[in-house]
Parts: sequence; C-alpha cells; structure tokens
Amino acid sequence: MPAPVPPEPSPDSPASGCGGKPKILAIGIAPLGIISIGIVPMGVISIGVVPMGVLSLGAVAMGVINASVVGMGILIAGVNVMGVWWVGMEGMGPYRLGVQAGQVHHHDHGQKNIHAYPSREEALSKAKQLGCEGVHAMGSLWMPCEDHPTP
Amino acid sequence: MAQHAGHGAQQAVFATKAEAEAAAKHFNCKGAHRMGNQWMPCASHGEATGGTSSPSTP
Repeated sequence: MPAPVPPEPSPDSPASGCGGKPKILAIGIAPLGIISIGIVPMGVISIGVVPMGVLSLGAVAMGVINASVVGMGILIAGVNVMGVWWVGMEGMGPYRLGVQAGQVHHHDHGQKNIHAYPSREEALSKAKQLGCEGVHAMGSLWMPCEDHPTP
Repeated sequence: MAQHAGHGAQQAVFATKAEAEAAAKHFNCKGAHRMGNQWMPCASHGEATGGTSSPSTP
C-alpha cells in the first residue's frame, strides 16, 4: 500500500503564516514578515500595537532593541520598561542610561530599613512594619530590627 | 545631608562614605562603615549606645 503523500502547498496559498516563508513587508492583523506592521506583528522589524521582533516599535513590545510604552528588551526606551540598558520614566534593569544609579526610582524605598530614630519605641514600631523583631542602636539613635540583613 | 522621614528619623544608609561621615554627627558618633555597597554613619556598627530617650536598653 503506498504511503500517503502530504499535499503540496499551493503557490497561491498565503505564505506569511506560521511555518511559511515570511514576506519582506507584511501588513495586517497578525503579520509575519521581515518588516511587519500591524496589530500583533512579528518580524525582524516589528511596528504595531503589540510587536515582537529584533527591533520593535509599539505600545506593548518585546524586542532586542525596543521602543514602546511598556516593553521588555535588551536595549529599551519607554514609559515602563524592563531591560539590560534602559531609558524611561519607570524601569527595571542593571543599567539606566542617562541617569546615575542613585537617581533610579525604586518602589520599595519605604520598606527598607534605612532610617534611625531617636526613640527605641519608634524604631520598634517601625520594625513591626518591616516584619522584623527588635531594634539595635546606631550611635545615639535606634534602628529597626535586631540586626541588619546580610546585604 | 541626612533626610528626615518624620518624627525625627534620620537617614542611616548612604551611597557614599562622605555622606555617611557627614551624617555621623546626628548619631553622636564619628566615621562611617560599609554596609554592602552602601555606607552607614559611625566607625562601626558596634559603636552604639542608644538614645537617652529610651527608658530601657535594647
């Protein structure tokens, strides 16, 4: 019995879907191309609402090089971003470009044990907020927690 | 310059040794010591007496 032969793709069939050969320029709802422009584009250069590509430009994007409102990438610029090298209003990553590390905003400022208090009672109250026990003296002031956590 | 977080709180962790040394006067101590990659006032963490406002010792 002869083995079934898989159907040959028609030359007229769409070529930009998954598994197909990407177009040079693809435009649409979910285009796949070397250059993709659309709603959810994927390609080397992706421009759109939710792009994914080596170079991505869009609203919510992922790419090696990325410019977006919310994005993730190696080198990224945007409003709220995560990347190795990043530029933006809010972000996370080891290297923020254009701003010294000390100026980088961290959300957990208020939760760290970085203040000392004149009274032991105040430090003890702060310790409870921080989720630790006791206090320790620092010079003539008091700091929350019995000891500092290992940095 | 030490930052106040209200109720007489003093900033105790600084990015530079100079800042920590400058803040040591608020702690009635001298010098600074390293804490991880940051700096804290007083020559050592053990240089501690506690404030007189406390009715008991730690």
